[in-house]
Amino acid sequence: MALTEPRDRVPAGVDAVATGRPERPRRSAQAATTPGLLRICSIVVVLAIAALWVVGWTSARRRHATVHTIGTRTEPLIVEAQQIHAALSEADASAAGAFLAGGAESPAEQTRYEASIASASKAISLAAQRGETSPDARQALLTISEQLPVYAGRVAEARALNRQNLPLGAAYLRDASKLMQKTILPATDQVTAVNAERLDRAYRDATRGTDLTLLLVVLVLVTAALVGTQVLVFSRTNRVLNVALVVATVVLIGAVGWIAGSYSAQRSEMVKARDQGFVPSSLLSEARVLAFRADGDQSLSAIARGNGAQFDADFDAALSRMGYPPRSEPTSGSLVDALHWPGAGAVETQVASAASAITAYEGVNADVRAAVATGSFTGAVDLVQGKSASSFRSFDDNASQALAASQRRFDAGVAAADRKVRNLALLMTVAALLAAVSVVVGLQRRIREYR
Amino acid sequence: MNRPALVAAALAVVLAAGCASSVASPLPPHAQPLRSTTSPTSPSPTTVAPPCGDPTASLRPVQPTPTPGVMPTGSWMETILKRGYLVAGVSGDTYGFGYVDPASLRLQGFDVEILKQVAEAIFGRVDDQVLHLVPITIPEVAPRVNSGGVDLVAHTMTITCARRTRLDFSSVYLLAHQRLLVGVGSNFTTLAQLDGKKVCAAAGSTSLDHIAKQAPRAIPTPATSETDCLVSFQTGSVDAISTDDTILAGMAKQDPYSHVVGPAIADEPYGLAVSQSHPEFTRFVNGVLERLRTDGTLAALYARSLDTTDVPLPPPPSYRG
Repeated sequence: MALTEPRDRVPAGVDAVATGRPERPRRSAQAATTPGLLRICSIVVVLAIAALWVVGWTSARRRHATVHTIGTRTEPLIVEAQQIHAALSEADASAAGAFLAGGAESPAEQTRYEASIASASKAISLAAQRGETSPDARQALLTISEQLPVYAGRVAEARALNRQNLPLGAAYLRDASKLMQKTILPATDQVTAVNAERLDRAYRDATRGTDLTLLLVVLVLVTAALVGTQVLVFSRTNRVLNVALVVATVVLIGAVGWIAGSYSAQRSEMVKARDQGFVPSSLLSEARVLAFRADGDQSLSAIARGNGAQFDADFDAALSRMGYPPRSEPTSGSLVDALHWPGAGAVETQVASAASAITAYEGVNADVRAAVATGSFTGAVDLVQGKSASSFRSFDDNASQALAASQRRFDAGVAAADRKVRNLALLMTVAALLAAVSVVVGLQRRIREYR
Repeated sequence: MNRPALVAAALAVVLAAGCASSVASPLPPHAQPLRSTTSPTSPSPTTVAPPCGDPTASLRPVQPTPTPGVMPTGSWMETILKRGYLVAGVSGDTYGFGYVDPASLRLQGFDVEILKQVAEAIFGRVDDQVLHLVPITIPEVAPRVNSGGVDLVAHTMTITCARRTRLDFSSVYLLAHQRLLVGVGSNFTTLAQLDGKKVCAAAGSTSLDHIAKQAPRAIPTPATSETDCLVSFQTGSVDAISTDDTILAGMAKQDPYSHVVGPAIADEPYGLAVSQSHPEFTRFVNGVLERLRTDGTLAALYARSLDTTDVPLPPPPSYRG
């Protein structure tokens, strides 16, 4: 061997004799590029793995955080807004109901009124404490908390006047109800709308189809880089398979496959939560609110002593919105939709009972109107407090149970979706680290063979 | 390794994944908030009626008046007698005139007392069997009286030429005057002083028209009923109420910090509404009113129903034939 010759860079395991003595420039190029190429390959592959990790980790983190926020914040806020609406509607209906019997109010309605106002106030202060970020919702909550005392004041005034047998009491009650229906309840609707929009956004965010697409695209690139490196190693070193590269490939494909499966499982849990939880609970919540409104109208109409055409029209409108227009066939509406909703399976019996109770209720209301029209106010009051009240109670009991069950299913569905994506970011990190280390160590060994 | 096949497979997977689009979760359409269905009552456009001379001129009663329980053959009174009861419309919420007593849940007031007198003149007695009182609103009066569903209406109803085109009226049983109700501390005494101030009256009432005519710069504010005006007045959203002094007196009684002021803005002659298709019934009702006027019953009923000693003299009846 000539002294001037550089140190042979042929891998130690390859027989120097077998390689022969190729010409200098070619030998030199090969010797210079194989480890260099391998080094470049390892850098490219590690960078690709890092990119996969960033993409996978970000989407997994975001999905989990979003689902978690839905479960711990968005969903409770919606339920709270619906509770505020229902409690205020019930308060208004019972304030009117308490007036029916004349001077001294019915103690049961009185208690119901106090309880509804108390539960609404509690829900409002809870909502305020959560720190609403949307200016619209903040303004709406402010309106509610400002106007509710005014409302309660009017009702108290109405009660005091009614006890003196003055017709002015009924006028105060009408005024209070107008404040509730035209100012306070629309504000609670605003809160619900803001939160519903928030939920819609969060749902889209937590189920983005592009998450998986992007992950798979990067995975394809990483796999291509790994396979390319593998081919290079094969052609340059005559090693059939580089185990380290195989391990990295399998680990990454396995991890992404697992994540894809989890995303799909999480997605279907969220669809289930929406279809069996959120949709029926929203429909039932709206149906209850409408029923309270109709019930308040019934009392106000009876109190208006024949001057209640506007309340009768509003009663009809509220029932129509539930899907049960008076004196005609059921159409589409919140309660009818809840009844025919395919996801309502588990609460079907209760919803059906609620629906038949509301039909009965409507029938009694026709008798109430007939009694008022003939000037039989005692008859009307007896009907409202008797048959009508018991139909209404049956509706409300069934609707409340179905509503609570639907809300529980919504909760459970979102919690299940949460579990599906809980540790994916960690999984992605571990897999990426494992793959990167494996690639670096594996290629380093090959590179070192040239030293 | 077959590269094109690998790439194709990867693309297929990517496209399939992309198809699983994001899940939306909007509020279902029927869980959206209910829009308000009751529109605020707007003042009904005043129909300009052709002049009818003296709208209060009614039909002269037949003398002698028929004996209770024995009504002339073919007359509407006989129809009522055979039916067994008189259907009479009345306001359900006009304090002192026609309103439901919150304690007994029964209709009472001056209008109700007059209807009782008419029922007694037909049947010779008065109870719930022979007198069916139904609450009614002003817009309902003409259709229900003309359909025969209601025989007679007493509803603090002013006789006007416009109303005379669709209804017949008895002779005037009470002459009210539109006046003004203001707070005890205020200096207002006339409509003219209420420039830029809000004045409340019942929607569709003659009072609203008079406010617009006599105080063009005041802001007429309609409410569903007069009593609703009192709520607006007490809560400070209107400055005054202008309607019949008879109704204002009832309001002043419910609110000791208000009083009736100023000169009469307009005359409001009240009549009982009857269908134009049976003039003999109008004559019969006028006969009853004639007796109530002369024997002092009308004044006594007024004093008792409105709990006042300040009883306006019933105006002398005017007849057209």
